[in-house]
Amino acid sequence: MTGPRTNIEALGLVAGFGLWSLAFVALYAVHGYACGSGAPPGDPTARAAMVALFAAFLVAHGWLAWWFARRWKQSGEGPVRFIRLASLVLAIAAAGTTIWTGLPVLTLSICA
Amino acid sequence: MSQDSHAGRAREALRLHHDLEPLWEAPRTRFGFLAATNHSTVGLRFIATAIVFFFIGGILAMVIRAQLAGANTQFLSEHAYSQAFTMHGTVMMFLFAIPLIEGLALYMLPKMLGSRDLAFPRLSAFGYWCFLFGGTMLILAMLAGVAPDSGWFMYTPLSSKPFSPGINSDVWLLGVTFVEVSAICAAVEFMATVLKVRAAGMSLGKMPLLCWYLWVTSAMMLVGFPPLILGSILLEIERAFGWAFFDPLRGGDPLLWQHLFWLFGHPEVYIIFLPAAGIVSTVLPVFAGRPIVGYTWIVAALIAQAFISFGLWVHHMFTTGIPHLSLAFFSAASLLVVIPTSVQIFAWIATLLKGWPKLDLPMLWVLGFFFIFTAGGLTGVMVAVVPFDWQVHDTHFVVAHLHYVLVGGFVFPMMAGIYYWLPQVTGRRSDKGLGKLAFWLIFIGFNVTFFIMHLTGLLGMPRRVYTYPEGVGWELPNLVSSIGGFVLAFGFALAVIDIAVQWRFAAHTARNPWKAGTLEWAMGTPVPPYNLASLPRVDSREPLADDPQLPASLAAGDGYLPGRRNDWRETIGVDGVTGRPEQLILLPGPSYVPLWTAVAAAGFFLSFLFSFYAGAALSAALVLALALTWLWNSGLKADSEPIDVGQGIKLMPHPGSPQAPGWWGMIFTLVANGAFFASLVFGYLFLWTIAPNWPPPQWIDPDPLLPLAAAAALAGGSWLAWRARAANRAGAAGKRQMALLLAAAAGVAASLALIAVPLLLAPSPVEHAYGSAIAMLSGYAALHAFLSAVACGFAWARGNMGYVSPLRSLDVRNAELLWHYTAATGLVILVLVHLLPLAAAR
Repeated sequence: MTGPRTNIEALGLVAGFGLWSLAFVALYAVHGYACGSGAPPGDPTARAAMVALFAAFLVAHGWLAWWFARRWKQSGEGPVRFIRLASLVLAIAAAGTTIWTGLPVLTLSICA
Repeated sequence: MSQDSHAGRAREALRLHHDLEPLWEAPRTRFGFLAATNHSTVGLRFIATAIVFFFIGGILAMVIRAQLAGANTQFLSEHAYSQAFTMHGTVMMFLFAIPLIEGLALYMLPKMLGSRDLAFPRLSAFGYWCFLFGGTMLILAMLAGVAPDSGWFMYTPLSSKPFSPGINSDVWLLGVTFVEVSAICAAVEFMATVLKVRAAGMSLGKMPLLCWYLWVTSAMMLVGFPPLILGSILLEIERAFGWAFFDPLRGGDPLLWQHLFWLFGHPEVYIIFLPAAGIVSTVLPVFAGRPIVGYTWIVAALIAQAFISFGLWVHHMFTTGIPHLSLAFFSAASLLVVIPTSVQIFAWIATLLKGWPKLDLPMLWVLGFFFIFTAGGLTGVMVAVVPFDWQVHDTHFVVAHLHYVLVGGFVFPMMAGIYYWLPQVTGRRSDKGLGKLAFWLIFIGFNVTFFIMHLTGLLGMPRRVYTYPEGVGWELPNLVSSIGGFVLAFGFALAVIDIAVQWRFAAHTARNPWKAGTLEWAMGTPVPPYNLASLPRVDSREPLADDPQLPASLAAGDGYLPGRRNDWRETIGVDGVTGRPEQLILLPGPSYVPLWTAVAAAGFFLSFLFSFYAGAALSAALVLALALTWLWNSGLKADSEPIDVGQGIKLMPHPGSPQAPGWWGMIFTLVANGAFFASLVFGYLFLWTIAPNWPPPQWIDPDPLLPLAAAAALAGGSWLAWRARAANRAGAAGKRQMALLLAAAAGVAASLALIAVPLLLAPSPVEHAYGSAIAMLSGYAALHAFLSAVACGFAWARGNMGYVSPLRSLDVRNAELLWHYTAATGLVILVLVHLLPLAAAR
């Protein structure tokens, strides 16, 4: 396997944390937009939206980690195996990162 | 092997050397050195120039410490002190740290990757001249007494026109942007090089760790620098033409500057740290006598670290009134970044524990790094906690913390690297006597200066005050810091003397004195301009450890591409992931065009600085013309069959490869451009939702004619460019040329329509930030439509000259890619500018 297909394999290295970046920016943007639009402190609608978003990203992370695990198991010996292992490790680490950075959504006051 | 055979191989090696050296070196004419594009030459120029700037920054630090040594000191005026600390930070960050990394990567990457040069040698040379001219502009301004004086992060409104009416801030904005051009060029160069220009067989999993670090760093530069470039452009436009991006009275917001600056500024810390960590990951296993522990984990950790570092920028803004929940996101990310850093540190410790470490001079610097950087990391955890940060914000505690991180995390590993690779550069033995003394002076001087500075900060001394009164308890810690600072300076002076002495007088050494396993030690010393007389096949992470005879056999021409053919500068291009040989890359030779292009760019920045806008426009046109000249003769005028590269392999020359480095260069340039665009959109939406004094007094005229015309031209141009590629692939040259011409015409039409939007429909950019943002967005789209037109016109002209065929399709594919990007971003802009106000009005 060479050329464009292996280049796509390399994109696996940035998939997990790319998803984390989206989750992080989305949560920050929704909170910023809610507060900028005059949502009162503790606004339940804003919290519900953020919790839903957080949950959706966690599901996406779970799926991505599962997908990379499957790909890694399928790879034989060779240069692609290294990329798939690293992609799997990064997908799991990114899922943990989203959980950690998103947890305040469940506990802290909105727009305070 | 018999003695005759040895002699025969030595003669062959010498013949190859005489064959290749004149081909790869700069012309031996009076001014030939100005045309040099060779990566070793340009890399060493970067390093030497960065070190000169380091000493200028160091002198400024001494001036600062002299001023603060006692209470009520009148050594410097308030204004001069402001210039001194601003220039100290600016020089150290933009003229020393980043360029030193660029120099290291320029010099080292091809050697470690087992190639003969970088993917775009002329781009490296252009980058160097931009760095030199931009840096010189800043230093000359300082000597003229008009240096920037608003702090190295140039916060508005302090740096805005009403509070900084002279050209001081303009010098920073234009000079730093000029230098950043160099950084973006370098990042594109390194991204494409690591992906495509490696030794045969060197898969990503076999690549030296330093190359991984530099690759990830380059990706961070591509995404991290554009926000600062955008911020600088916006602030310069505001200062020059009175627009309103950061003026809260007219719908702007100073916080927008902070966001854009720290979107760059925090990743910058890791952009500086990661290459240094790469040096540690390279040097430490050599002196531990065993391969690094946890290669895959380190690669994963540094990628994770690169990403997370972009989620920390608001931790520089904890005191700006951002809601607590948002602060918590950034506080959590700031704490989390410790984990990938720790993975690397534990891998290094494990490597030491499992090996038999030798305490040579490079290792001494590595141990110094461990001590100081870990201390800086611990205070980093402290300031990541919001309530603590509120207490120490803008005090000397933060100054101490950032110096522990940057000096510990960058300067110490760089010194380790300099001492490690010095024998490789000079061919002379490393001598540790004077170097050891220099290390201890620097180590002790640094800690005396900055450890106690934490206390100065905790005692409440704010940063950036030019003096302080007696009796507040700050005299003694400041005096101690100043004494330590001078010890530190003396240590660096000694280190320079030591390196100069070793360079000139140390005894000659055998190749690979440290018994390292990576390919840079396979070269002769001093390194010949072609690096390797023939190129290796790599089957492991440490090819020299597997085969200690590899250097001799490569020198004798046993690898790929031995000797000289058609006066081509040849190297091998590989599949990005597997390292399978894929193409024969033909590199350009020496050229004065990069220098002249940088001179024209300097003309642009200087004209803008002195408000000579016609001159700036003329210079910009000249830059474009020179860039086209630069690219005009690239490639081949006829299709080629695959060419024998040795070892029974034939490869297609890169103009006939779909994976040519130029294709990847365009992709990575568009990644940087995309980061710029995303920052611009963020700025627009940020002002819309957060800035005071919105909604604006007047919305855009809802007349749909112009935006629809622009949208049609954008979509049509993109479609025509796609048709041009399809026609080229089908061998229909006539249709291709026609489609390219029409796509160019569509680009001109789209550009005109987009320019007309702010002129005819939008409110004035001077009245409110809304008008400013619309003009900026429309200008961005118009500029890209124009550039797409130029790209199509250029491909058309090259097609007429015979540079394009179904096989040699790079011009057409690059023009098409640029057109798609232009259409996508242009349509997003049209929606934001014309539809968002309609939605808001409802």
